[in-house]
Amino acid sequence: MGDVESIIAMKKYLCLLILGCCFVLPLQAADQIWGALVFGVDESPPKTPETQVIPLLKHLIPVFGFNTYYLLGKKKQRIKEGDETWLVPAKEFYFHLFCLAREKDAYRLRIELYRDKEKILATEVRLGRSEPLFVAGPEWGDGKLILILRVL
Amino acid sequence: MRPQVLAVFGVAFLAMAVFLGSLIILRMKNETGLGATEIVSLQSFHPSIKATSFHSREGAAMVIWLSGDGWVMSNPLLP
Repeated sequence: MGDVESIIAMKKYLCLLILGCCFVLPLQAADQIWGALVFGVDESPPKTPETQVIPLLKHLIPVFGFNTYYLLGKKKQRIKEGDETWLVPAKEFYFHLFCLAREKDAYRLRIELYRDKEKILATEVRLGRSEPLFVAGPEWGDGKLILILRVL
Repeated sequence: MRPQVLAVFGVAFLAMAVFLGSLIILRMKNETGLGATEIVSLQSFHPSIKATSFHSREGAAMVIWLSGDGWVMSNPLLP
């Protein structure tokens, strides 16, 4: 009888252990980097942007000055130290990322920006969690194309 | 319950507590790290495009500004 109780108790603890791992492991998983292509323009009246752009307005408006921002493309990618990956928010503009190091409060990245198949820019960046990186791209129409990279 | 079984439970429970605790601490460390963005190096590969960078204090963002005579999109991107 005692053995049966022991087995039941052991199973209970094992279930708890597995459940614990299921909840905690995803929380501890690698960060994600979010890349987007945005079109900034002045419109009257200003249009409400997509929900993913709203938290960035506090950065976008003081830097670029436009009152409306359209999200043309976006992509998320998991990153960890030593990774090399492509981040393609739009087919016209995309990033080649090399995660050089994971620091305490930032990722050290080598970023190459491509327009179509042409490499335009290479930069080494410490990308902090609190600040996005904006790349002011070409003018188009009355506005400007803006590329965004941020750690999620 | 037998003492051996009790010991196994004890060790398993302790191991689980240490494991979960370390993961939670690791996650807390990750979440509290709120670092600024910095440009370490910057190089433009296009002959007519100049790349400059600046840190916007009011916007709390790092900006790379690409400019040049040929740096205007002529083809519409919007659908």
